[in-house]
Amino acid sequence: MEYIDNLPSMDLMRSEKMMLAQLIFPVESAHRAVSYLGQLGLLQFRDLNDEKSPYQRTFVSQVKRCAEMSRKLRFFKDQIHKAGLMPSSSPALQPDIDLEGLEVRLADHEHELIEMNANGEKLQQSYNELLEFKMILQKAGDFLVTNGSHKGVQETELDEHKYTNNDHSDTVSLLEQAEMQPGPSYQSGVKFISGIVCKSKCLSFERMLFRATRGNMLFNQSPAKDQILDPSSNEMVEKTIFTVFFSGEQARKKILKICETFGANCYPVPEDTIKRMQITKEVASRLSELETTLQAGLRHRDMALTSIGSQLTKWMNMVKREKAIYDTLNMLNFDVTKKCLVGEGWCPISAKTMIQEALQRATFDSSSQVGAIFHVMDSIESPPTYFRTNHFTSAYQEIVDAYGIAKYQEANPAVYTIVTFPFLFAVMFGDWGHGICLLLGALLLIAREKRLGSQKLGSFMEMLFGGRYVVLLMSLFSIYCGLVYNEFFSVPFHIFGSSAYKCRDATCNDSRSVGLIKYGSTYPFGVDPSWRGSRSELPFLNSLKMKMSILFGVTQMNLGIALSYFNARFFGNSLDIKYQFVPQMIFLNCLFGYLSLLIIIKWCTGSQADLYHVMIYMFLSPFEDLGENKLFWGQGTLQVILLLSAVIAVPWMLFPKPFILKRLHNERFQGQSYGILGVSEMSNDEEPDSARRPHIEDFNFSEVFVHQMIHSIEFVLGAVSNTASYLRLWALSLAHSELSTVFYEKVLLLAWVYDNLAVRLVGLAIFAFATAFILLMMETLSAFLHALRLHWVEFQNKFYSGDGYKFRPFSFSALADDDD
Amino acid sequence: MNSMIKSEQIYLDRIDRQLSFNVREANEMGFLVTTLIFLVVGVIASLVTRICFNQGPSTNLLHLTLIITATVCCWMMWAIVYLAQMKPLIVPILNDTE
Repeated sequence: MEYIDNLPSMDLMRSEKMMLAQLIFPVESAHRAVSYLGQLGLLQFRDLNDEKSPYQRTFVSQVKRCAEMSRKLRFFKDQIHKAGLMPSSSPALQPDIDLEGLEVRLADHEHELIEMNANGEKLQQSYNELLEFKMILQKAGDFLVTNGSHKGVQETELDEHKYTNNDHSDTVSLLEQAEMQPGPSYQSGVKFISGIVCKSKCLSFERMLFRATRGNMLFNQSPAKDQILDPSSNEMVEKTIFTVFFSGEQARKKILKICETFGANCYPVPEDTIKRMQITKEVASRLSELETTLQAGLRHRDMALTSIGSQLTKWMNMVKREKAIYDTLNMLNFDVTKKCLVGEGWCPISAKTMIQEALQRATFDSSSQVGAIFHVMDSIESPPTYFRTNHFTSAYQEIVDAYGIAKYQEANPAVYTIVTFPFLFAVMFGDWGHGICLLLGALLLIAREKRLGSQKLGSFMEMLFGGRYVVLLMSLFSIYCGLVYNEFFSVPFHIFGSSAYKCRDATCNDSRSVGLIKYGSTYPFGVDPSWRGSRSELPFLNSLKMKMSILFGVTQMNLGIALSYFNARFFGNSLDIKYQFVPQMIFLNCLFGYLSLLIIIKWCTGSQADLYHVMIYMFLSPFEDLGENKLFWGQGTLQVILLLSAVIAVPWMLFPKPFILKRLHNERFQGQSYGILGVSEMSNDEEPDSARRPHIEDFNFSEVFVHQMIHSIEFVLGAVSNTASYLRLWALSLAHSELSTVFYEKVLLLAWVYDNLAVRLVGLAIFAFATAFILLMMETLSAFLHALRLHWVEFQNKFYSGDGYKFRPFSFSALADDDD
Repeated sequence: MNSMIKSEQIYLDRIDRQLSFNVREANEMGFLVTTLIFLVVGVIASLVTRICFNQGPSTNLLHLTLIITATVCCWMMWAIVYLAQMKPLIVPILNDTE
């Protein structure tokens, strides 16, 4: 047993040893020291100012400044994005600017940008108006010209409609008058207003005008050929140009009001053609001027944005870091003398020298007189758990952590999960053709590691990429299990020699009724290829896979209980060893270990004993004679002994431990009740909120007893249910094999029967799609999930408590990972 | 005539028993040989990892654990399937279509 203690500790097995350290910084070097510690990333600060609200803390103004700066930076990012520019990173390393300088610069940039935006908007608005005016001039000109030239035609038309349409009679007669007098129409009282309105509102606009003027108007409209940029919604809208002919001042006022309501812009269009042409020319020239001005403004703004954009990431990182540093400084306390900041933090013991060196550098760089103090404190509180993983093991550690973070220094199931998880996946997925496809996928992900690692991926791809080494191992084990099950897209091969079965005689008459016969030595590796397609394939494979599941299950559960032994040994908990580990081992192995033994003996001897019968009657009538179910000599006696041991094991794991714990507690705290007075005197000058104060707990016997009872019942009942749960290995493996067979026989072979190339191609395509989506994706996820459940529940509930908390050091690289 | 047939029968029985004994022996020999092969492969793999990826005693122990676990898992898988086929209780009965 001492040999086990003398072995070097295994890398990932238990959390790194952590220590609680107290740091004291002089105020002038505090900022720099925290910054260097952030770069190192190995210290987790404890928040000593937990009860204070964010506004009561010391450095709240700095934090606010940082928040304001990051708001400005976000604004810049938005503007760059809206302008459609790509943010680029500047290649040259520019000198570091300090925070105040950066603040001033950011304020300047923001001011400049807001001004440019406002100017740009105004220019855009006037540009829009001029554009609308230009279009109105063109179209309105058409209306007025049309009215004049079609005078003759309209007259006759008007005469005809005069008596049929009473509504328009007024309008008609007025127009008639207007046409008959070739002078300017304002002399006859008919005026017009032309403008432009959104196409969507045009119909309701017309109706409103009609109602308001009681029909005394003529509404001409035509759609504008260009779209106009609407400044408020920033999109291009379609507009319609209209001209309203009316008479009377009242009507004019009403029409103007209605135009305002509908957001229609009215422009004065001179009737005279020559004047119109003059104004059109003027407008065109002003438009081109405005366009050039607008373009120049946009270019200027783009230049400003690009210069900002090149430094944007650097500034954002800087601001994030500063905010993090001030948040951390807020967690520290001021010393009595107000000249030092005191902080506490967890760090791995192995990082002690690095931290001390960083603190020395900070003291030197900030030319402070006093050095920072770093010393170890004792603590009652449980330290955080820290596993040093590389990018191969980190995926498995994440899988285990998803269920629960390991308690400080308890055995880490990830060590065995690295192998058993892909292996159990492969037992459920076993097909070396599909395994090769998975392998190709995994190798592709690993080959493109660097490229995919730097870009931002979608959530599904990110999970897949993060687990690329898991998928690699899964595929390798799948290929192995596929070779054992002898399935290549459900087709068996004779890779390892010829089959062990042949016909009983040369005519092979009996092969379809009684079957083949085993004449030679067993097929050396895997399932014999003769089984595929035979009628007795399923009974044989089912029996094989069910027994295999039981064997794997019992093995993994024994491993779990063994790990609980190593945990108890590490924590020096001999109580757990004697009253938990031993009865658990006895119980599990007397029942299900014995079942595994029976399975192996039955296979080795080829006996026809019925194992269900044996197991059930072991409980129901243990003293009865076994008869034809006897597998080995002395089986009856052995069964009685095992049954008795299992029955004894249950109260063994239930009763002694609570009573012994109670006795130990009484012994330990017997003398303590007089010592409490002495302790309270000394506690005045200790720092508040420290982790060092010891707690004297009450021992609640009923709670401990109930806890132990729950634990024992869970184990006893769990022994049966967990063993049965491992049968999912059989179930999923069967499902996979059957799906694979169906796709092969009913799709590919069926299509191959026809000589037609098109049918064959279609069949091949359907086979490929079905394999890729159903077998490779759905079955992979399904087997992954079930293997995960087997680990999380059946394996880990034998030894894992998983109630620790993770070590999250103050680190700048971790900041870069979370985006705001 | 009868005695010759009987002696032939006894002779054939003896050969049959000898053959079935050979088959039985071949089964167990095959099992032991392949188990030995797994053991050797495991040992070679651990030596190779020790030589190529030597990163300190704790990491080496981790690698050794992984290799032993993988070897044991693979061996168990093969052994279960082999044992189940050594003395089968049912034989393949071909389908009518074949």
